[in-house]
Parts: sequence; C-alpha cells; structure tokens
Amino acid sequence: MTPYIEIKDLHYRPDTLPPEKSDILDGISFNIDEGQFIAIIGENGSGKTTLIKHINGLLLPTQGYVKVEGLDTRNQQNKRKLRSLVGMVFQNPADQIVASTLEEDVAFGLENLNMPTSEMRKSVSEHLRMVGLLQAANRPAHLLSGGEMQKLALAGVLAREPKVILFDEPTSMLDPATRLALLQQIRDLRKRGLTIIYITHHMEEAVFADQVIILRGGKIVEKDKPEKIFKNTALLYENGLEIPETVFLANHFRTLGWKIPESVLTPDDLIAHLPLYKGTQAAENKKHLNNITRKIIEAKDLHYTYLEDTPFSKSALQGATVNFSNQQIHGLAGTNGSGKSTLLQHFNGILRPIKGELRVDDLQLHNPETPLINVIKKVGLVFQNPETQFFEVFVGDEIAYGPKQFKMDALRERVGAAMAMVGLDFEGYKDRRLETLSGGEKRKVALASTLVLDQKILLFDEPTAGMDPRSREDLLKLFISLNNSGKTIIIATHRLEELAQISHSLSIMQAGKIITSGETQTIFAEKEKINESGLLEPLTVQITRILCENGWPIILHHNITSDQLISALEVQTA
Amino acid sequence: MSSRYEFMGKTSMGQFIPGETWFHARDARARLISVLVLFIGVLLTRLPLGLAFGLICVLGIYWLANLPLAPSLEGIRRSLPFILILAVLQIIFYTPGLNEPILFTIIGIEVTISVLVSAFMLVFRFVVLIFLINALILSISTAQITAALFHLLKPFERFGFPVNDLTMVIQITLRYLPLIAQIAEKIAKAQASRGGDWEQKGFNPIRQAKRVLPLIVPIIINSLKRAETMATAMESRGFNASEKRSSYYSLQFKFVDGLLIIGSTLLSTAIALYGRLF
Repeated sequence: MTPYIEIKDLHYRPDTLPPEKSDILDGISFNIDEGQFIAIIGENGSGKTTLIKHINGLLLPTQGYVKVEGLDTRNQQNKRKLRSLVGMVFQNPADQIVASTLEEDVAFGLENLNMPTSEMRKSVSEHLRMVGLLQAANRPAHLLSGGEMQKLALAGVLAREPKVILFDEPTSMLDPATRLALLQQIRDLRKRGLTIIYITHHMEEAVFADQVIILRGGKIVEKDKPEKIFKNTALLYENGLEIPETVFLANHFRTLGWKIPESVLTPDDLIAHLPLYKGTQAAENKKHLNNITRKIIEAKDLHYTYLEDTPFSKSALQGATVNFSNQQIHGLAGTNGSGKSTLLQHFNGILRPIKGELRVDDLQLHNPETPLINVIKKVGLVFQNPETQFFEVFVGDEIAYGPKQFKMDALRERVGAAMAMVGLDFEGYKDRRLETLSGGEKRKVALASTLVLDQKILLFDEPTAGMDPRSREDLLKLFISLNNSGKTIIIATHRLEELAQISHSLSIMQAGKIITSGETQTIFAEKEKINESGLLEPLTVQITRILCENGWPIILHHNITSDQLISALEVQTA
Repeated sequence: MSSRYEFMGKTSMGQFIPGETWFHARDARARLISVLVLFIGVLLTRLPLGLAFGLICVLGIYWLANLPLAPSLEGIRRSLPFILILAVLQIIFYTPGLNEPILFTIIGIEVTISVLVSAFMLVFRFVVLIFLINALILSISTAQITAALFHLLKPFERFGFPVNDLTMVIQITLRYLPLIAQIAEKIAKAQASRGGDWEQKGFNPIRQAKRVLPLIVPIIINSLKRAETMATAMESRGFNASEKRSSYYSLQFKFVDGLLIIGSTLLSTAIALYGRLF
C-alpha cells in the first residue's frame, strides 16, 4: 500500500544560499499515514517550516520528491488539487488575513475554488460558527486580537475542507486559555479523520501527537512515538529541546519511590497518579522575608482608550492600580488583550493616561508636559516581537541609534558591551545586515539596542514568545543578572511558569485592571484569581496543590517551581 | 489625550464601517462609479464656488451613508503640512498674468491675487478630494470594491485584459493600508522608546515632515516582507490569478442604482462647469 504522504530523500537549497552552507533540508525521508497527528520539533532554524511548506507545494524540492495521495508536488498540474487537499495555518495570524472583514476572508479561499455565491455564503457562516466568530462576521479583520485572528485563519482553512492541515507554531502568540482551546480543536479535527502536521516549541503540545519528529540542521534526528522521544532526555538536550515538565516531574517522583507508570506524558495523567501522604509530620510555615523597598513605579486608576472618538475605539485600561518596588523582578501576567502592553507603554511614557495618576521614579507621567525624553533616560522598553521594528540596515547602527539620540560618548564601547551582554560578538556582528540574521540573533540585537541605554528600569513585553527552550533559558538568566546589577525589571507575559522561576512580585491583569498583586509565592495560592483571568496555573503549582490535598506536609507557596517541590519532597521521604 | 502614534486612528484608510443605510444598499458598482464621476468633477472645476458646491455634494454622501466626519478631518489635518508645502511651491512657480497688480513681494517672489487664488484652490481641492476618497473607503469594503471592479472589467477579459490580477492587486493594496499604518506606529514607538524625536509641541510642519521621512524606508522594507508572507498565505489558500474565481458578492444592478449614477453625473457636471454656466 502506498503511504498517504510520502517524502523521499528531500533536499532543499535556495539559489541564494552561499556554497559553503549545507542544504536547508538535507535528505529527509519519511511517510505519514492518513489521519495521523505528527508533531515536528527542533531548534529555531532547524528547517521545520521549510519542511512543511514542501507538503503543500509552496516550496519544491531541489532533489527527491514529496507525494500527497500519490500526487507529486513537482508536477505543476497537481498544484490545484494539492492546495485543496492541504491547508496551512501560519505562525503570525496577522500575515494570513487577506480581506478586510471576517466573512470576506473566509470567502477568499472559497472564491479560489470557484464556488457559487449561495453555497459560499452557507459555508462561510458554518465555519465562522465553528470557531465562534459568527457574530463578528462583518467586523474589520485587522482589529481582531491575536487569538481571534488565529481562529479566523483556521476557519478560512477549514472552509476549504482539506484532508491535511499544516500548522506552523500556531499557538506561539496565544495565551494559555486560547491555546488550550485551539489545541482541543486540533485534536477534534484529528478525530474527524484529518491528517495533522504540527510544528511547535512547546513539548507539552507535542505529547498529544501520534509521532514526533526531531529536526536538526535539515536532517531528521529521530522519529518515534512521544512516549519514546520524551523519555530520552539526552537526545532532547542535544538538540536544544527540553523534556516536558510532566515527564521531568514524573521522573523525579519515581526516584522518591512513587509508582508513576512509564507511560505518563500529560498533566492529567500525572495528577491521577499522585500518592496520599502516610507519614505523621505537619507542615511548617516559614515566614517570608518581606524586604520593603521604595516603590519606583506607582500607578493609580489608569485609564486609556485606543482610537478614542472613532467607531473603532477600544478601551484598554479601565482603572489599573499597581505599585512596583525598586530593584526587583516583577511579573505582569494576563491573557491577550488584558492590557499588559498598554500598561507597559504607559510606564515608559509613550502613552499617557486619559485619566489617573502615574509616577515613575521622580516623574509625574499623568502630566502631559513631562517630556518623553526624560522618561526614556530612566525606562527602557523591549516590545513584543521587537525584530519587526528594526529601521536601520546594519546591526551596529541599529544598536547605536539610542546612544546617538542622547549624544552619549564612547559609542563603540557601549555598543560592544551591550552586544556582549546578549552574547553577540562585536567584531563578528556589527557590520552584518539585519536581514541576514536568524530569528534568535535578531531578538538578541533588539535586546541589545535597548540594553545599550543602561536605563534603571527595564520593561519586557512577551520576551520569550516564539523562542526555543534553550534561548528561553538564556534570556531568563539574563534577567536575573540584570536584576543583580541593580535594575528594576518588569516582564509582561502569559507564561506563569517563567515568572514562578524568576519574579519577586506578580500582578495579574484582566480587562484593563490589576485584579491581584503581591509576592509571587502568595499570588500562586490564589487559584481562583488565576483561573478567572484566563491564565493557567503552572503544572508544578497544580501538583503541589494536589499533594497538599493528599496530606503531604508541604506549603503551597513555598513550592511553585519544580526544583523547590522536588527538594521539599526529598526531605519528606528521606 | 490621544496618542501621537495612532496613525491608524488618524487615517480612515481601509477602514470600512459596515452600515445599513440607503447608500450602503446600492450596488457596489453604482457607488464606485458615482464617486469616480464626482472625483472628475472636483478635479476639473476652475472656480472656488465650484469646489464649494463639490464639497456640499461630497458631504451629502456622508449624510446619506451616515458616516462620521472625524476620521476625514483628522486625515486632512495630517496631510495639511504636505499640502501647504505644495501650495508654497505653487506660489513660487506660478507665472502671473502680465498686467496683474502685485500685492507684495517676499524674497523676490511677486505675489498677486491670481497666485493666491490658485494656491487656495490647490489646498481646497485637496481637502474636498480627501473627503470624497474617505467617503468611499468608509462606506465600501475592499471586497465590494474588488467585486465591483471585477464585474465592471469582466467584458474586457475577452481582449486579454488581466481582470483577476488587477482586482487582486487592488484588494491587497487596500488591505495593506491599515497594515502600513500599524507598521509605522510600531517603528515610531520603537524610535521614541530609544530617544527618537517624536514629541510634538504646537504646529511645526517642517519638523513633522522631518520626522516622517526616516519612517519611509523601514516601512517599505517591512511591507515588502509582510507582502511576501501574505503572498505565501494566499497561495496556500489556493489563489491562482490565471484560474477562474467566483465572488462572495453577487451584484444586482437595480433601477435606483442607475438613478444614483445619473444623479451624481449631473452633479459632477454642475461642479465642473460652475462659473461657466452660471
């Protein structure tokens, strides 16, 4: 029997690639059966996206072949059939919206099928309803949130009724609740018999696949069932990946003598196997050290509305009140659209509140007369996806832009020091053109171009989005070292597990307000607040909570990272 | 206080507002043709009174379609520095009539009444045209424009005219305008966050123009990059200009649609010939 999708000795090499570099895809062969869910993982730049673009013929092999239902992608006559068979959802939702309203966008793919108008209208409503966007059918598409845009993109693909869907990191810009909903939808599609090929940086998403493929340098390193792949810690680390937290904890729990089956891969599975406590000790509540330091930012009842006085006006802050202490790492958590980015942009003076009071260090920012330049001297902001905001040609110039505006001395040394901080070699990179850098390198340049100004308060908007596990870890280390050198750091994110590791305080935003704020450890005890805000408790916190309920003498708020929990349990079982 | 970085709010480009007025209910082709006809009238008229009459007609569309004026006013305010620069150029390079009395002379430039009138006409004409174009953009979605053009141009297809290509180019261009505004906003914010001069105090067209110029190259580069991604996304959703496509909008031309075109043609003629006939 011929396989449903057949990839044989696939090589890809664009004409522009310098001869010393090896092929982007370097001899890939594998088959996919109909109805399978395949996850592809690997570092940034390992060839994942290039690979799946071969499956619907967006790219054609330089050598070897790809066949779907026996159709060779190299044959131009198969193109139309292929595009109907295989749909694709991209990473950045905004880039795949073609038309100006939602219904028109879903219709776009159907117009291409030359579907009659009346039939098209039916299909458009049906698929918008499926993703929950029917009420918004005639809204302008560019004003949707990231999560809504991704749903719209999925509706547009589903309407064409493909048999295979390719997903290129579809959740990297989504918050936990939206991400879970999309993942569930994808698993439902698989149940309906669709073949799913799914690229991700999140190991906990890949565990749901039937098969996992690890890619590195354009070659397949391993292809196996998830339970095999995620057992092999050494293999994952070698390839810049990590083991899913569930597996990490399960492995440790087994060393404590707990009976956790080897097949446990998902959080629900692990939670179902947690043991009851049979000892006699009681929990001992250690007192926190409450270092009260000066508040460096004080925001009171901030209000802000985008596109005020237009038909598209959107209220982003609705009375946000929060304080941040000097020289600490603060987490600002919330779902997409909760107002995190808007609040950060208030802290560096780019946006000014419509109502409310805001003090940053000694500056009163609710006073529109306070010059922006004075704020910028104290506060640096690294935007979300900062690499889309480059405006110079060369790396050195991009980083030197800020110091030049402030007419700072010793420009070379400053730029060199900032590049060293993010791990870029000054001589090797300063004259490189920005567009020749990899995604990870671009992110580093963007960080350096803010760090070079050496401001005392640093704000980061979703800094780890779209990063592979190793780069994510490096960045968290950089935050700690910046904090150790006396900087106040505020990180806006929807990934609570990262904040659990590094932040001193945590504030949660929802619908333009701060709904709770305090020491990171105490906030994690407020399960309802976290759930209500649409965020997801980190797995470790969920497990600690269940262990507490099972009678284990451990304190929830002392055990919010896996390291803390493991050492606490080691003491108990010693 | 509104933000100075919200370029999107300050233009109405690509910002269709869905509505259910009499004007919205008209066939997209009729709306497109009416606006085009009025555009020509405003372009051709020679007297300020003609323009004033044109402005009244254009505002009539706002009334018919229940459109907000604020986005258009903001659009005019934004483009004013550039229009004023054009007006100054007009004054410098205008050749007045031989026997015209000179009002006054600045740095060797002789200013006469006809020079001032022509500069005023230039500014006024731009203002009316901006109102008109905004009225079109606010009241008709890009897909409706595309569908209208598609159906209007269809007859030329048999002569080898690339109707599919052309309508798609227009649809993407229109879809792109708000995207470009978003890109501009992001880059301006990035520059301001690193000490770039984005603070505006008072009305200073030269400073404003100087600030916008450095945005142009990064905007073009960014737009091209996004265009590439979008082209890939379109291709993966089966777009192929050389193949037959259907349309989400089935257009139905009714009697009232014809009246709209006839009415606007009459008005446009009146605008263009104002002062010659009366």
